[in-house]
Amino acid sequence: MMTFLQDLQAAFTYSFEKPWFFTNYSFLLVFSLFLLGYALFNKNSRWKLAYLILFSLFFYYKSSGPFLLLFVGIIICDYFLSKALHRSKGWKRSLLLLFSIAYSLSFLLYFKYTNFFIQNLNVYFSTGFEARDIFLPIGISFYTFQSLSYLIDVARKEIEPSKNLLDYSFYMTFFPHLVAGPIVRAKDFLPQINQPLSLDNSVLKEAIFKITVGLTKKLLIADFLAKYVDLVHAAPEGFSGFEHFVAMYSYSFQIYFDFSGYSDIAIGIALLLGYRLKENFQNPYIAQNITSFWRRWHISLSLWLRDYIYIPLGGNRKGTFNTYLFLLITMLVGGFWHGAEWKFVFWGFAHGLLLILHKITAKKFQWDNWLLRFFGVLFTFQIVSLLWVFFRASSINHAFDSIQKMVAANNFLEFSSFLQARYEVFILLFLSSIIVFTPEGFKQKAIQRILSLPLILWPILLIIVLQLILQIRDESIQPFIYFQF
Amino acid sequence: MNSQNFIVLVKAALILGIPIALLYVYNYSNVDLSMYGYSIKKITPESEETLTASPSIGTVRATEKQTEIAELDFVESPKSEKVIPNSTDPKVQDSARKPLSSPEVAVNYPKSDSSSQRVLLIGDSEAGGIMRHLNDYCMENGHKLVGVLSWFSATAFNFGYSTKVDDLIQKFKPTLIFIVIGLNELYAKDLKKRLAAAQKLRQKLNGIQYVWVGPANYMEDYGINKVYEQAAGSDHYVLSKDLNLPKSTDKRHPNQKGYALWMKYISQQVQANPIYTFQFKPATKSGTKFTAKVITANAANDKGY
Repeated sequence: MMTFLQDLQAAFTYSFEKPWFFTNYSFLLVFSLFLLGYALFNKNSRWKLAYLILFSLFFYYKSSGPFLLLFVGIIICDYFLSKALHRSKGWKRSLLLLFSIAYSLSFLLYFKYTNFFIQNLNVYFSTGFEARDIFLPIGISFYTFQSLSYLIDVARKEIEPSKNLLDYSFYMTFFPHLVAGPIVRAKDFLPQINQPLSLDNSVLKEAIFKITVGLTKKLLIADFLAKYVDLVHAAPEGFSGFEHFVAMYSYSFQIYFDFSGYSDIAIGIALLLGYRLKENFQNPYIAQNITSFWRRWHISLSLWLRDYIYIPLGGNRKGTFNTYLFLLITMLVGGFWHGAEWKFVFWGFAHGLLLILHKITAKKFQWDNWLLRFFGVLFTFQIVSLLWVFFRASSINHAFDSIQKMVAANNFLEFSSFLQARYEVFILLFLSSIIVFTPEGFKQKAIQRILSLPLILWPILLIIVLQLILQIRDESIQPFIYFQF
Repeated sequence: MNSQNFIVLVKAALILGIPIALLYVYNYSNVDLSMYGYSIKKITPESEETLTASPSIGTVRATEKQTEIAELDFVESPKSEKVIPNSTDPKVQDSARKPLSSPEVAVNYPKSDSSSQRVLLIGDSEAGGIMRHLNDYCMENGHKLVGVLSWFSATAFNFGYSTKVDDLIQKFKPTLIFIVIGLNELYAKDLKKRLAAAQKLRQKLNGIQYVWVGPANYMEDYGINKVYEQAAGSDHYVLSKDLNLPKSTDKRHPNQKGYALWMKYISQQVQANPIYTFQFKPATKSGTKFTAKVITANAANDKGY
């Protein structure tokens, strides 16, 4: 009984060591209780919004504790800034927009990049600044981009500012996308806010299916692969080239299942609440080229970078050379957004170069042959996987060491001993490949079959998945990879 | 009230809530179910999420651990304090008890020996993790890290009963050996056997001075630290089990920051230890040129004996 009461208390208080994720079973329990309350408020849109905002703030408190106050402060300032932007004209508006962008970015720059700049100043200018003990508030990279897009869109007159603070708070705090996206645009989301709720059994099934699939992707597949990947990268020197080679592919699947699993849960939860978030992934690993990959991977970020960095810089309107330059700058920003480390900058830079290379070659070669398309998929997957090594390794040097081992010291004869020692990793990689590379048509047929199951079977399906997760997972849970960005 | 929305939301609450509520009911009950010989696991209580699979398993483990330790003739250390390796000098003990976050802790004994040491590092995956930091410290103090054996998943048995360590000593002719092992043996309960293997390893060192570093625990061990402390001799043993190092995402190994902090701690312990006469001050640079020969192995494929 004491344990129950302690856990109950823990469910409502913030713990630095155990922030709330969608995969916490206590979250799922509290969320299902929250849904009962939501059912009562569903007719009155004001009450519904207020109730959802309160729950979203509670969710953020459970994830980030005292940083809730900062988040609320940002929302209030954004709201009044947007009003001022809307009223202002001419140079005053431009000045105010510059201020708004600087203000909005300042929090992200401080929390995420201060130590990066200090360390680099110390290294390159021999200064002696001490690194600061700064904790990165969860989700700040995501909500900063949402806030920026809102303020810029208001300044551009593409949207009207929110009529009241409640609407804007709802847009910013809506908990399914709050901590790890998808990055929602105000022009897509604000119009949905006051629409009457329209739920039926097909939406319900779709939502529960998304949540179940998301939990499976994250907890059964990504976390299991993570155990192997983490082993290799914790002590990279202790592993052979072949083991690094397997870790590279394992991480490719891990990051996809982790992040797309999170997005699936977010989309499923939003659906249950009556809101439709856009898909963030569309089979990225079957992309035939790198441009196609970026149209399928973390779509909300790619579109954000396109609309707020690439196009304002000049897009493809200022000549070929500038187009390539702007593309490179955009990808560098994208890389740096992922983390305050040179390895992320390099990763963005490499993707930028690949995008340029593809633009150049696409004009000269037509990839209309099925064999070429097949090799296009293989090549794109391979190059993307190789660049993920920079994403995962603890530093650029470690990434190069890992790649060097794969190339120079790879003995494929280790395959049989690897299979003996780590057969479960191999099985999971095999299954992941099937899931990832199956054509969309087959997947949709399978999904339709599952969705046609009677509702009564869904709790049974869910309990099987949840118990299976308990049976095979380790005692520790990997936080969602994209929480840290 | 829109009745369709209301009904769908209640259905959603039930579809999500009933399975999870059932799992919680099972979790708080005293019933333990099994199926085809496999026990049906419970939700790990959040308060113990990173410690044990379930409270009952933890209790059993603690009892077994006490029994096993009692059978061995260990030098007991005060339970409420960190064990201070190497000295009975109260100054040294006080300094070593200070938290890791306080970097200037060590009482530095004068180091008369300014000669350069040829350093060999042997150990498990944690040796692989710490080797670049050790290289920085060696460079700082005029020593040379000549060789590293990072034997992943290895235990006392691998090091004690193989000839790998003998071969490396023969090959590199070190004057100082760092040993970093134990992380793979936190669960070990066959302590007598491991003590015998660890003593074999100690014999292999054959008079060469050494620093034996215990594992940076991610959980309470069942006595492996005491085994190694006894084998190494408490004055050569750097107990690291209570260091609260930042961990990598596998929650077991330290991350790079953790390894850096750990290396700093080891340096403080060596500097504060009067039996070591060589210099081992903290490094002022990181990422120094790494020239040591690294030998890697995996005990899953290569036991060595």
